[in-house]
Amino acid sequence: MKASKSMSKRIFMYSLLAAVGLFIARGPAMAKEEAKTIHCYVMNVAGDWKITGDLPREALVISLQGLVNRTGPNLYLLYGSDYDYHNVQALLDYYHKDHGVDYTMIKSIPDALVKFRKYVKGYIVYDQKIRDSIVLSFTVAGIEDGVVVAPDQVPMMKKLGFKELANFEGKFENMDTTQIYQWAYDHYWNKCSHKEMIYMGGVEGNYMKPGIADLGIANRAFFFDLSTDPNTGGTQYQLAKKLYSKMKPFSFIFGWHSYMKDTEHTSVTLASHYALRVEGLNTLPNMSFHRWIKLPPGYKFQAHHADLKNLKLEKKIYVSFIQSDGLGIGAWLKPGRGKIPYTWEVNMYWYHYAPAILQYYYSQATPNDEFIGTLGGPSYMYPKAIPDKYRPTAIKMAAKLIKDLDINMFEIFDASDSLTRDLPKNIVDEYFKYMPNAIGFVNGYGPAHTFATKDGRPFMSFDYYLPPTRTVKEADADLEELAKMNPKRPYFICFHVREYTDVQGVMNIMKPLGPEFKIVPLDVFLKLAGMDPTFKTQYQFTR
Amino acid sequence: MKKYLIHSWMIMAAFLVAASLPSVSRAQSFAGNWNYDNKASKNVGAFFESGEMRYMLKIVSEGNGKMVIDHRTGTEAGWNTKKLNLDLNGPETTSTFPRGDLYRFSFEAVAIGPDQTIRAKAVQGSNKSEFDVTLHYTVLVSQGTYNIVQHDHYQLSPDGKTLTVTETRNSRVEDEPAVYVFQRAN
Repeated sequence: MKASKSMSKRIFMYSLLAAVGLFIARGPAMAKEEAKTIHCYVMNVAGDWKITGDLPREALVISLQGLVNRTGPNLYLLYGSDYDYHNVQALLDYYHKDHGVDYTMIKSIPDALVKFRKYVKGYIVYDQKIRDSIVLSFTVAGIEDGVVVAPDQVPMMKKLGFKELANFEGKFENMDTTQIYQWAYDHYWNKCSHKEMIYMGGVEGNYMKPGIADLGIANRAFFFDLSTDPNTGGTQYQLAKKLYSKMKPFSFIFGWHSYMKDTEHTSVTLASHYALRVEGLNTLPNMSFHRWIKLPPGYKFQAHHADLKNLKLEKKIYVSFIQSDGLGIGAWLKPGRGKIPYTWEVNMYWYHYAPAILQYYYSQATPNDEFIGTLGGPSYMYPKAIPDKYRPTAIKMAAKLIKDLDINMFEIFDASDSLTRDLPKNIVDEYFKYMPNAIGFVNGYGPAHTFATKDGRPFMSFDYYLPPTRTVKEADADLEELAKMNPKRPYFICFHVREYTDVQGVMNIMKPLGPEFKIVPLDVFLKLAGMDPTFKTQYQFTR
Repeated sequence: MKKYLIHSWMIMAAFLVAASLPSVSRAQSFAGNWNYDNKASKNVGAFFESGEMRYMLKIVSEGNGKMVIDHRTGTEAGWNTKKLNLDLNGPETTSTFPRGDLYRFSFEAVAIGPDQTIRAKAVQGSNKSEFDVTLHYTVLVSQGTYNIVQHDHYQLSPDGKTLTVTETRNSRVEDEPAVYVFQRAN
């Protein structure tokens, strides 16, 4: 009994020691775990994006998000499954699983305003009849720390005890668009950050999709919606030029051009003239949140690369696919990914603005998923429109980014000349010179005709572009026609796939084609093309 | 004598007018502005199918079976104009197309090179509401050039309001012809 008592005492002592040891050992780990947890709130802004419909609710919440995410990742927004960006929910799930992001849903705007009261100094009332007043109110929201509201929402704001910071009802009734933004320039430009500007274009009329507004408000950017078309833009174009000229080279134009008043090509051309970086789209969501999600200490981006040693050329038609329009609005989450070699265009600025988004894609990439840097420069830029003195810097910045992202291929698209997508020799030579870490280059969006090689590094253009309307039969006839017109083997078809087509759709196109067609990863494709460039060296013709 | 000369001149003039009438009318019936009808067209290039491409034809009769077909295509990047000279049942004609992508080839890398001469032979039979054109031209592809032979059949509807252009080319392997339908403007 005595022995038994002594034994019990010893067991108790050992247990106590073990518990203390466990506590000592677990303590720091638990503390670390505690520290890395990010608590945030989530709201759903899915709706119809109509100015006279759901937009007042959506715009208010997005402007609130911009304010509350200035100091940390406090508010994340869900946009619904049919939204332009398909990965909104998936990214939140990823942050929850891999970045310790924990969240609580907020169901109503009043609840959110009460919860985040300390970030909000008041509200700005826009004129629902004048779209430009909504755009302008985003600028004011950033400067005055307010949320944007439609007149119908004013009673709610008053009831919650918020004060009116500005009221644009009726203010701009006798002004045209140029006059409105000139007024905004006169009153707010000097108070704005000039690192970024937001082109709040996209869908127009009774619709607006201001997904990017949170970033602009968080960073106190100037918002505008002015035509960049030199032929039809008139005074709007003149004012847009003036705004662009006030930005430092390599500053950002976020958002997107207006589908009603100008084109992607005029918009990017004007930005490139001032060496500004274009980053679309106006719909891009949650950017004020993403920037706070940091990469794990010591994390390095590692992309998949094929083994390029001992490659053997065959008398084949080599085909390599590149998905258009970056990650986020494409087919990444759609059927077929990973089944065939496929290359995805990377939004490289995320390396600085939202590295965890890139980490998400890198972590999901299969050995068949390769990445290519885009587009023309460190962002979307037209090299022919960039002033000569800035172009080497633009290419070097892009070269640094592809290096940081473990990418060794780069893509260019230039539509600054309405009649050709081709590049002159001096610009092609600059890419070879200032981006020595690229094993090859791809040019175009639709097909183009610029081809060159230097030291086994090819500069190639897309030989085919697949729009969403093309049937399998039609696409196969197109590819067979190309094969007939380009009789030498190997023949290299660089194939651009519009973001609406998924990998399975591309596989369906390739299936009926004979064994002469061989799908290869893009790095293999470029290497082989460099070994036997059966294409003819050609550049943009002088007209 | 004077009366005789006037009489002879009038007979000659009447003869000349009468002789030229069929030539004038056969080209004139096609003359006018034509708007592309996307819904009625079939197996056309992806640019047209998607609606991204605006397309118009302007056919100008120059008398004696001669005509100019002005193809105007436009995307958000701008307008492109190609003028094709034809001479119905006359000798082969030449035209110069500006350099640029050929939208008939959808999104294949196929373009007209600089100062490219297009040779065209236009033939019209007894049916004056139709004619055929054979075109010869060289295109740029990534491996160099390729010689295209293209056959176009122009067919006017009985009411003269619809123009159908059916097109085949030697580069296309086992494919149905492209059918471009246009409605008369105005």
